[in-house]
Amino acid sequence: MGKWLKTQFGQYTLASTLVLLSFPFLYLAGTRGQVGLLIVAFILLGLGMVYPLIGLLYKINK
Amino acid sequence: MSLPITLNYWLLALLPIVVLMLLMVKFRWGAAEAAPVGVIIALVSGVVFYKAPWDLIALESAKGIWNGIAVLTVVLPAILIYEVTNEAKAFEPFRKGMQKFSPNELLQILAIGWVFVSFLQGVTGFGVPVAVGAPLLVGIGVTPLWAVIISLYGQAWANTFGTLAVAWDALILQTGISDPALIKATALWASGFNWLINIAAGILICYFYGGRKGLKTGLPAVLIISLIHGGGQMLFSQANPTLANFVMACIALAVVFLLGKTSWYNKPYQEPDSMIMDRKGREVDWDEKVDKEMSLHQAFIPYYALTFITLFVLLIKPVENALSFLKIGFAFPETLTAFGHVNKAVQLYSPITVFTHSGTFLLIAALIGYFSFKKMGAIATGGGRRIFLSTMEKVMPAAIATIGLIVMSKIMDGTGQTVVLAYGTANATQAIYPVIAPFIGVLGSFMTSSNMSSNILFGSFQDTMSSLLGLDRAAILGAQTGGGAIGSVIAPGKVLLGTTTTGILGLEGEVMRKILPPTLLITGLSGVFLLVFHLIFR
Repeated sequence: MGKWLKTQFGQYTLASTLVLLSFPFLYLAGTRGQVGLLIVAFILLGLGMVYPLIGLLYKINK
Repeated sequence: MSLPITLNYWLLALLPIVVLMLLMVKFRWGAAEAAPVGVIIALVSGVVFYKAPWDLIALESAKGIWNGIAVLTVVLPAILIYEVTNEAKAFEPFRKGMQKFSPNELLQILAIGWVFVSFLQGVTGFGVPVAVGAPLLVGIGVTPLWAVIISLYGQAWANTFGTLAVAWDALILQTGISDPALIKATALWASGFNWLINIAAGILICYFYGGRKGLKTGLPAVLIISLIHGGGQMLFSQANPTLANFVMACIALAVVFLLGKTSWYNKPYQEPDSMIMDRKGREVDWDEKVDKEMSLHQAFIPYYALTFITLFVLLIKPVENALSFLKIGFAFPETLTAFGHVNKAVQLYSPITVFTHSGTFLLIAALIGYFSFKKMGAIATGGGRRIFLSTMEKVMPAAIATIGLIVMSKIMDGTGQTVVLAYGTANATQAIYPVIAPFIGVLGSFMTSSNMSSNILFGSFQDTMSSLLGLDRAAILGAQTGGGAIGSVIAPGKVLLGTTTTGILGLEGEVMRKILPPTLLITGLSGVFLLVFHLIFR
C-alpha cells in the first residue's frame, strides 16, 4: 500500500478519490448549512487538491 | 448593494487567471498542480473580498466537481478507444492505410487534424474531437504535443454551429432576440468569424508542418476545404443554423478524400525537417502493401462505430427523444453574496443524459472495437487487463486537474468575479469596445471550456453593451460567439483532454505556450476588423 502510494498513479488516485468523496459533503453542507459537514467537505477537498501540489513542491526542493 | 466594478476588484478577479497562466506557461507546471493554487486564490478572494458565504462556496465547488465528473465520463471512454486501438496495434495499418488515401503526409494531417476533427465537432463536441483526433494524429507520426495543438485548432471554428448548433441556440435564447432579420445578420457575423478561425487553422497546420513550403503545398487543400467549411456554413446558416456546420463538415470529409486523388496530392510528399513529426521507426516505404491481417477500414472500426452511433442517435429525433428519458443531476438552491450577486436555483443542474451522452457513444464504440479486434485475433490474452490499467493510469491524473480547473471557474463565476472581470474590461474600453468584444467571448470559453457556456455567461452582457454604446448588435453578438469558438483552443479543460489521451499529461503549460500567441492574434484580428467596420459604417 505504502509502495503503491509512492507511485504517481497511486498519489493521483488517492487525490481524486478524496476530491470525489468531498462532493456529497459539499452538497449537503451547502443545502443544509451544517458547519460540521462543511468542515469535513473542505478538509477532503483541500487534501485532494493540494496533494499533487505537495508532490511537485517536494520534487522541486529535492 | 451591487457588485463593485472597480480597478481593485477587477485586479482581484484577474489574479487567479494570471497565476494559473503564469504557473502553467512560465513555470511549466501541469494543470493538476497549477489548478489548486488558482482555486485557493479564487476561494480566498471570493470569501474575503467578494463577500460570498461559505455555503455558496460549498455549492459552487460541488457544481464544479459534478461538471468535472461529466467531463471525465468523456475522457475515460476516449482514452479507452485509444488504448483498445493501441493494444490491437491498429494504428500501424491505419497509418499504412492513410498512405493509400494519399501519399502526401500534409494532406493526411489536414484530413485527420482539421477535416475529421471538424466532423466530430459537428456532431458530438464536448471535447471529443480533441480526445479522439489527437491520438489518431499520433498514430500517423505527429508528435503528441503537436497532435494536441493541431486538433485544438482544427475543432475551434465548428464550436458555434457544431454539436447541432447548441452554442448558437444558447446565444439566441440568452439574448432573447426574435427578429428574423437580426437573427440572420447575427448568424452571418458569427459564421464570418468562424470562417476566419477555420482558414487560420488550416494555414497554421500547414505552417507548423513545413513552414513556407508546407503552406505552398497545403494551400489548394486549405482554400477548397475552407471554402466548403467556412463559406458553406455561412450560406447554410441563413437557412438552417442547426445543420449548417454538420452538413458542411460532411461534404468536406468527402472532398478531402477526392483531393487525395488529384495531382496536387497523389504523389509522395514528406517534409524531412518537419518540427511536428516523429518518424523514428516509421520510415515510409512508398511501395509497401497494407498489412494483410488488418485493413484501414478494420483498423478504423471503433471510429466508424462512434460516427454511426452518434449520427443515428442525434440526427433521428424520435430515437434521441426516446433515449433521453434518463437524466442524472442535482437540484441546487439559490445562493447570494453580500454584494447581491445571485446564483439562481436550478431543479436539475447540468444533467447527464445517460443514453445520449457523448461518453456513452464513446464507450459503446470502444467496446465494439475491443470485441471486433478480439475476434480478429488482434488482441492477445491479457489484453483486456492491460487496456484497463493503461486507461486508469491516464484518467486518474486528469481527474484531479479537470475538477480543479472547473471548481476554480465555478467559484469565480458564483462569487461574481467573472462578471466583474467582463464589466470592468468593458467599462474601461468603451471607445474601442469592438476590439474587446471577441476577447470577452474568449474569456468565457477559457473559464468554462465551452462556447455554449461562454454565450450563456456573456451573451446578454454583450447585447447590453452593444445597445449602451450604440454598436451593431449582430456584429457584437457574432464577435461574442466567434470569440467563444476561438477561446475553445486555449480552454484548459480541452487542452487537458488532448494531453491525457496522447499520454503527455503535465505538458499543458508547454501546449499553452505554443497556442496562446496565434489564438490571441486571431482574436485581435477579429476585434480590429470589428472596430474598422464600426468606424467606417456606423
